Amino acid sequence: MTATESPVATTAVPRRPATGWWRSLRQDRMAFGGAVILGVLAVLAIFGPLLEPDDPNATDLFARYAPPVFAGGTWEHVLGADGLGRDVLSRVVAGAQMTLFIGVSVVIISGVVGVALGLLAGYHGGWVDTVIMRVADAQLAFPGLLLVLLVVAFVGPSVGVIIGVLSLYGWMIHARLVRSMVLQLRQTPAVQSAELVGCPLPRILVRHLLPNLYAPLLAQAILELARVVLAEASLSYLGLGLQPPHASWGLMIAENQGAVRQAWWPIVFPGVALALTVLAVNLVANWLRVQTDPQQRERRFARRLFRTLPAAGLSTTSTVRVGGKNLLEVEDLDVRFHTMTGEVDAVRHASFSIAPGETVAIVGESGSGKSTTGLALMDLIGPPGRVEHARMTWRGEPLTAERLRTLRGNEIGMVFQDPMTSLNPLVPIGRQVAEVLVKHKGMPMKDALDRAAELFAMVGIPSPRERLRQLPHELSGGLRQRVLIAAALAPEPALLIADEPTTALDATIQAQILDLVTDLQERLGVALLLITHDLGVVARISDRVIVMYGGRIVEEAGTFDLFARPRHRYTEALLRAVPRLEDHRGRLPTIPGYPPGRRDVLPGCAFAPRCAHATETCRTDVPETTTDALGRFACWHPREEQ
Amino acid sequence: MTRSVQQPITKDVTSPQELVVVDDLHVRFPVSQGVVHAVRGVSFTIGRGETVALVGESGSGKSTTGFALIRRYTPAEGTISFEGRDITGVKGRELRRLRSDMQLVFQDPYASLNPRMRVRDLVAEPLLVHGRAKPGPALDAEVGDLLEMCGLPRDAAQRHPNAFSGGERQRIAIARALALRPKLLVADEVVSALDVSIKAQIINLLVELQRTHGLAYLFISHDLAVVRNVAHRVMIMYAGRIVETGPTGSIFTAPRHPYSVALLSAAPVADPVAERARERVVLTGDVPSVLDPPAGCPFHSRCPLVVDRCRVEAPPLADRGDGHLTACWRADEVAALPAAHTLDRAPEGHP
Amino acid sequence: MSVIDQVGTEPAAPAPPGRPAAKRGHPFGRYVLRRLGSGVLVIVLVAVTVFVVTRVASDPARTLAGPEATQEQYEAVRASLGLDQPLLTQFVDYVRDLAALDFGISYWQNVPVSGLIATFLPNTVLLVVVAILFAVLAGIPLGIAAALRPGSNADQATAAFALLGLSLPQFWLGAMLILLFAVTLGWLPTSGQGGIEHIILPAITLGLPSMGRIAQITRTTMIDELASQHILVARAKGLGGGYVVFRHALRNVMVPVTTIISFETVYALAGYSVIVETVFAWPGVGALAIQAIQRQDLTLVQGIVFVIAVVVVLWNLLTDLVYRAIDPRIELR
Repeated sequence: MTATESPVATTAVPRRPATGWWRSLRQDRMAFGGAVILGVLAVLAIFGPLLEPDDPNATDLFARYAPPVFAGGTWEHVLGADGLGRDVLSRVVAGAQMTLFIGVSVVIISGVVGVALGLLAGYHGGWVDTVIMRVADAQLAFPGLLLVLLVVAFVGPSVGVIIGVLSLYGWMIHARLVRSMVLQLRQTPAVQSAELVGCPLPRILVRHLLPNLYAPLLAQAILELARVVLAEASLSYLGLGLQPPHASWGLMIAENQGAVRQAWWPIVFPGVALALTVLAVNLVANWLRVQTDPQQRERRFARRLFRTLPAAGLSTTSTVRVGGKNLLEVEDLDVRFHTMTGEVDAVRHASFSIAPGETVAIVGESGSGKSTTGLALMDLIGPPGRVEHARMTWRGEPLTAERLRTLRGNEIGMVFQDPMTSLNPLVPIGRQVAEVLVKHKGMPMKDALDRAAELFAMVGIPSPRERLRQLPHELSGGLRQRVLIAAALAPEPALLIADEPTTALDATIQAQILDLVTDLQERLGVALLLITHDLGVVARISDRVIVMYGGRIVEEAGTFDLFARPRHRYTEALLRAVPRLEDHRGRLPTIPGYPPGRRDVLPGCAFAPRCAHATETCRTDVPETTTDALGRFACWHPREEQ
Repeated sequence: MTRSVQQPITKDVTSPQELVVVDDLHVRFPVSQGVVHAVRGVSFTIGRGETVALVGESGSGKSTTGFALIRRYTPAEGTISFEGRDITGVKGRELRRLRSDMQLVFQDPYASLNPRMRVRDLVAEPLLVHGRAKPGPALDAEVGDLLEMCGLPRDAAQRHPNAFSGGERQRIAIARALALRPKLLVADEVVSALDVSIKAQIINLLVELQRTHGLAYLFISHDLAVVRNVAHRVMIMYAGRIVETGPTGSIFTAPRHPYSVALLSAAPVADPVAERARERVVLTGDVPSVLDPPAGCPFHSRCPLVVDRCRVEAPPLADRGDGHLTACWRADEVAALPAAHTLDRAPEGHP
Repeated sequence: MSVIDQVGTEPAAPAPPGRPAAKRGHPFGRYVLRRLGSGVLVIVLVAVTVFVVTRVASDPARTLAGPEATQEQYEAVRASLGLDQPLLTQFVDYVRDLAALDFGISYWQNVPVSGLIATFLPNTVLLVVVAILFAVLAGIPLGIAAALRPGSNADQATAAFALLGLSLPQFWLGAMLILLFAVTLGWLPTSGQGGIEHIILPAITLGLPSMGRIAQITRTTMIDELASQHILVARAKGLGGGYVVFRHALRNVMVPVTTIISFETVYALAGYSVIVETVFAWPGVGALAIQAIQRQDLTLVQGIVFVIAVVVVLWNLLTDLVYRAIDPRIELR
């Protein structure tokens, strides 16, 4: 027997094709160049003997120090010849072979050992973890290269020994990375779910842990390659690595450096080859690191895009209602996010006003654009988002970006949702409040700190003087939020914007903070713009309510009017669908489907797919706003009063 | 159609109605600064097909209790019985078999589904792991059935979790948890991370599934409005102890513990008329640290009704009749507070 | 407005802070002891490794005696090195000597090893200090500048420069720098020690890769930091751009950057200095070690490696303490 409603399909917007790795690599020219170089290197290494123009070991005393072809030499030795008449180009190619062979071997061995030990340490924990990590730590503290040299020198510089010692030096890095990632992943609900379902250990390792590890591991392994290549070259340079007649770039440089004044080419070309190889590896590794971090990719993409777009932001042309009594007026706010998969209109044509001292709530669910609106008011939207367009007035004067900057934190304060991450963990909390006063009121720090103590008392923080020096981690969530409120109210702003200020707090703390905010509001005459999804909080403290859905304002009215006589069908449905504290019903009324995701752009009314009263008009035409005595709403078929 | 007032479930331990019996559960964690007493002597039962809600704030121990019940943590003291069998110390294969009887759904739908697996693999995994099915058309059909049961289209199986919204993902998680047809589901804040208009959908789904399959739920939540619409019985926890428990209606309309009153006061009601007219108790201070629990009643440091006895002697859970138990020396006075009765009036003026 | 019910005979007690403040004093002393303990462990491990490598896994007597030596000569060399004793006796002697800081006599130079180390070690330390100073003073500002304008041309150029710095093999870089500045332009000396002009090229060669890595880490960490919630809050307070970067973001960035600086110092001291000193004929223990290794001079090698290990361990301990001073949240475990 099936249950409840199925999700409603929403129209998808045509998007930019998802950027695959290949395409992304091509866009990053440097990384692409690096990949090309590595490709060439691999070809040389694999097909080396076929590509060498000459036998790398063939000496020719008549061709000693023959210059390269572009410096007066012949085509027989394109890049010249070394002290023994051996062709430099051939030796460089042969060197590529050895280098890559050693490099790849070491990376594979140290990788396999490191990953295995890291998995074991991270997942098993306990004494296994302790032992492995102690060994790794001890080894990391060893005087690195020196010991490698020691071993190779005394045991003998064969290829096997070189690979062995360098591998021994590399495994700890992989092990540590894997271990810390495994420890992190184990805490995630996804892995816990796998354990709770009863998955045996091998399955968890293979299906749940490894797939999330391979990306950073790959980046790490590639960096390892660079390190090994340099290490081997250094060893050979010191005479403790590959021995003649093996061709190694490091060895070539060592052999010919004495004659550098005479012939620069036998040391420059292998050096260039070496430098290019390591550089290429590092470029690819860098690209890989950014590639596997989607947030960084988005920001990078957006920044590049912004440089090509026309200027946007606050405009001061033809502001409506200049000289009004309102504190803040916002007209036609448009915020757009430019992501790699398409443009997203987060806020569309939002207009509203706030009068001095009043409490206005913006209510919405995810994708409604309410939080974005709050940030836009403070001009804090960053890439990939951008305020495309807005007209604002402050106390009747048109607002420019520069003027807004002076208002920010001064006459307009903001409190955010998560008190755990909103304070700088390394700065004493007294300072974090005092600095606002220093900046905006020009107070000296000492006076500002005194005032901060007073503010602490005002917001109900016990032992305010002693707390000035404390760091955020010494306080609970509720206390931290009080600190943030103190910082926002310190310069005595006219408007306080609060974005879900109590959502992350416990219920009894939430009640305290709400009482505090309303109390301070009354005392200081501050207007409050409260952004929230909690209708109960709205009912408790707001004077007016603005309802947002799909980036638009769909209804606005006084609080009592909105709850008693909602007009927009979404408001009506929302009020009915909220689980009620004060009674219980058999089957809860619901709104079918889901709020539109950021990517879903629909013609017409955003709520139409879920609305029981929707008609064709609703699906094609954006509803016009009707204004009346109670407020305004944008609905083709609003709820009528009986 | 309204449901009838919840019937109290008998407490008889030997009754075949009892699915789960927890007795004097203690869970402790060593940390660098000492020992955290997350759960301190919790006892309760869950009957077949019954929803018992566990309510509290951070540090109350509600999530730890839920995790201990499904044996993710090992109790330091106390016993847990499932269907009459003592499962407190089971390990290994017996523990794995237990997994097919009890499952858990997590809070965060974005973090609880492995993004690299397809929905089909996620829902089928429990069946494969326990040897209940082999890959093939029969398994695919079963997966499809489970998805439909949870209100998802059958073709959702082909896609990855990233293609779905929060509410849909939670449905996938529920389908995954139900694959083994467990008898008990621990729902750990399963609607807390969802949008307001979606919570009702998932609640309806859970209630429906309970009716069809006789599932029992341990519903852990901090959201009292949700709890009121889901649970038969409610247990309120504070600092690792149960301070009040009883049938839902009774708890909400006639609470008898100061903390319960404060908790109910703190939950805002979505009706400005009622909300602004309510009598409330607002606590001062913070939720306690469970590192060093004080002697006496766990609530005494914040209690508006505290007297000397509270600081010294911890009140036991005492039955006031009709299955409503309270751990407070002054329970009768609490019952007389105006703030304790703001939720038993019918709400006015809803559309 | 709400009516607050406060029925009771006593006011509620003041709430305790949410989490206990970080403790100081006693646990700190224990922490130092514990770190010293693991440091001693490391030194012991190093000593054992050196012992095993130089005596068990190889036969220095063979090398010293030469390929044409007779059996008698070989035996004589073995005896003079003390290699004819049972292994356990050798080890006991070895440990006893090390504990007494008696490193013996260098076979190659025929003077006490401790004397040699005392002469050459300060030069290495000087070189490393100058090199790391250069790396830090150049790398951190570069990283910050790049982070402030991510994706710009300036950022890309900085990234390229840093990348180049850490990609170039130091022995080659050194040779090129000598070629350019000493041979071709004649501005700086090619090698050896002397006045300031002698340390410039070696320090740059040693420090350039470190500079590159420090710049990279600074940049990445700074970018992440600038995108964090508390920086958004700082901006919402209306604090100026420079203030936000230098008084807020930088503080948090220095935590991981300090770790990197510490690593780089260890790498330079215990590894790369060997190469750079050899290229520039800088009279430090690194170059000395190479020559000792090439000549299979047991005692000198043992001594140098041991002393370097001790220095590294002490440096790591110092860094741990500094780290904890910067970030008091770190638990003393």
